[in-house]
Amino acid sequence: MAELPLTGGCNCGAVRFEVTEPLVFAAYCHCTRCQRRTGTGAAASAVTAPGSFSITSGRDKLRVWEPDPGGKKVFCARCGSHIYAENTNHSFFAVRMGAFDGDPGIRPSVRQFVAYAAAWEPVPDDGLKHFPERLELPSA
Amino acid sequence: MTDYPLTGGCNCGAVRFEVTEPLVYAYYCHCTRCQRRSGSGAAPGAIPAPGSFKILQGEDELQRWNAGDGFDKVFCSKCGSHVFAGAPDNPELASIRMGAFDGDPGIRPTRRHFTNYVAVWEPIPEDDPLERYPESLMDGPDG
Repeated sequence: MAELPLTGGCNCGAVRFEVTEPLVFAAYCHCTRCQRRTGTGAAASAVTAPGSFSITSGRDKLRVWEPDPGGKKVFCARCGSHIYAENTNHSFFAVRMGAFDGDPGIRPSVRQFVAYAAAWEPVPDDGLKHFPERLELPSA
Repeated sequence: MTDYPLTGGCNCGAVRFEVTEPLVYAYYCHCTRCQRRSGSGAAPGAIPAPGSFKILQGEDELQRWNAGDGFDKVFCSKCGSHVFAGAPDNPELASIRMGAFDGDPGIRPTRRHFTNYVAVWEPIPEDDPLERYPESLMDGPDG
């Protein structure tokens, strides 16, 4: 079991966060927006339980990009590290898995937007559930 | 066949670039710095031939961050998209983030760097054929 709170932050150290409850769900996103944002083939994010995610330092260093349509993408304005996303109706936070200090104790279980997977990184045959477009979140 | 120039840019459209010659090689980096930067488990980069990579627009929007060693990490200050890494003292040396290309850049990663630091939540598959370097490229391959 991962010890709580989970902690994490950006590369330059300005932004730090904590997660006080076990993560609910994790997913890979293969959409082109995630590809450009990360520079990688897919983004890995973990959804937090309501009220369990907080920024513990560097809130003033956070920069938000809010595409239309789409949720807020939040990154460190100084070093560019991606920290989290907030969905459009503000019902959950998805923390970028690479931002955690240690093992966040959860593994991605689905891949969404696989119809847009990068030509140079075929979607692995790894047993994860694949959604060609956006995944339907399991109801709480 | 891949058409040249290759083009790419950031999510908000402020930054655009082109690559006028075939890319030289591509790799995944599994270092923790790349994990935090991208938020992903590993970062793929592609090395352009000298003089073939050019920022077409948005130079003013590009922000550089350097950890004190290594290449500058260069991203769009408006939308946070990671575009490339560049040597602070040599504009000819760069590594372009593969996710930043508009289409197929015509090259595939052939090796993995810093595999000692692979994310616990994203292990490298056992049958993965790419060459592995436990530390940096300079330190040589595994085994």
